[in-house]
Amino acid sequence: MILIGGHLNNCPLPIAKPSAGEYFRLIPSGKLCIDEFKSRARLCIEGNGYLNVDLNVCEEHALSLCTTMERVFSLKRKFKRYRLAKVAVVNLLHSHGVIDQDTPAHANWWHPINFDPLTIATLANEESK
Amino acid sequence: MTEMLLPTNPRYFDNHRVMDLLDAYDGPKIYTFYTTSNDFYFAYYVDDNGIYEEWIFTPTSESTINRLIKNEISIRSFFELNDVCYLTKLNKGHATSVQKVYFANLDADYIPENDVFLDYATTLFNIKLIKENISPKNTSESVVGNLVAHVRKLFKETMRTLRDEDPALQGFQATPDFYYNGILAGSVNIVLKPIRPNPLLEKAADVIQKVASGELTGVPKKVLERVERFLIPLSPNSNSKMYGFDSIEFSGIVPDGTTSKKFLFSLTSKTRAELQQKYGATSMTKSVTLTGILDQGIASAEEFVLSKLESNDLQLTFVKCQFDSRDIEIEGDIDEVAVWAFMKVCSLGKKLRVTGDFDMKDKILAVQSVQVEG
Repeated sequence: MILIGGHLNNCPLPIAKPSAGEYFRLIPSGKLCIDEFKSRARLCIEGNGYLNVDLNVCEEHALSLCTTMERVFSLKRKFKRYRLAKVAVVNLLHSHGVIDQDTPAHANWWHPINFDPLTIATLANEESK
Repeated sequence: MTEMLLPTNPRYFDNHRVMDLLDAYDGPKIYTFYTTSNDFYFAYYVDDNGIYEEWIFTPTSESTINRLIKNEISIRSFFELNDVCYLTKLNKGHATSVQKVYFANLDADYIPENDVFLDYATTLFNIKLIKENISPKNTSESVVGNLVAHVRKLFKETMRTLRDEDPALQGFQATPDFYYNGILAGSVNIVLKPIRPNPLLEKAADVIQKVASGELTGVPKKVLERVERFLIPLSPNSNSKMYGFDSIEFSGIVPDGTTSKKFLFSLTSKTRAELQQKYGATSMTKSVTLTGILDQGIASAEEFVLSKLESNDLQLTFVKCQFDSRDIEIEGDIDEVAVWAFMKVCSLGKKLRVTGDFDMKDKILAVQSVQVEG
């Protein structure tokens, strides 16, 4: 499987496995567009350079997903960046790449390079969640 | 002469050493760090506009961070306590401008409402040794090391027993992964950090707290016995010059879904005496060295059977061995994968010399080292 990436070192962690289920992604722009599903490296955003590669695995190589809406609300309340963000519900099947769930509420997602994540994403009705 | 830099100089933050990552989403968002001049800081992500990222770096102390981690104070209260903030713009990954701002003058939007907590979804335990006039000077490294080893063993055995009891927990590792971060005044901090979410660890913490607090509802008999027996060596010993504390207090947080629940109990000499009376004062383990053939059937990466044992004091012909890859010594530093590979190679009937503690009741050898003979 060829996985999405912006540079040669972009590959999933060996522990990442195909996974199916409902995940959530914050959409700071409020618009469900492809840029919201590109890794920061792919968008050429240089983040905090004081952090080493291990800590940057999510930023350099993968997209973050929340496993619960509680986590989504927590991020929205914590950080100015996400306060007005919309939320995309991402319905993953095993064929949509690999997941490394590194905390109970957070997962790293690597999806196939030719796959359009917008086909499995819808904006959530946050009030009903 | 070394140039003195003030925090308002962006270069002051160059090469800072990241200590703990406390939150991440599309990259780290909250962490702690030491500057090259050993000042301790808290880093808090604010926003980015595609050109630069905005962060707040605020000088703080480890004890204030612990209060934040334990959800004793909100994020807003934390900033209020620290007062001084350095509003830092990062361009191409590094500070390009730093502005000193007092909390009262900070844009209200930058910090969350007062009811927002860190909710650090990682287990953290603090262990406090309580004794009159205690100081780090008279808390020796061997006492700390001993305590850490006992805590680890208590968790490991509890996790292992829970896993045996509950088929739903079969796939989880029964090895707690933690380190202790040194001696503070009168206390030892042990940080327990699972690498991956591990319901076994969370469940073990819950059960240990119940048993130590005498609330035994819902604790299976086998688990209860195991926890109680491993609480004995962990409890203070009034007869010991080195380990004779008045009590040992355990506190901390354990993840519970997306939030955390508190963990709190204490052990005293009385706990030890009562448990010893219940289980008998005699030693339950014996340190042994056994030589035998590794049995073909290895149950898992953590267990094997050593059979055709050569003459030994225990009069055993075979023994079930359990090991923890982090404790075991096989020709230098190795990781769990190497141990697993080693055991697989050894499954072809090789002769091994194994040392460890033999549990007289459960008839299990807790392996400390393995050598291939011949």
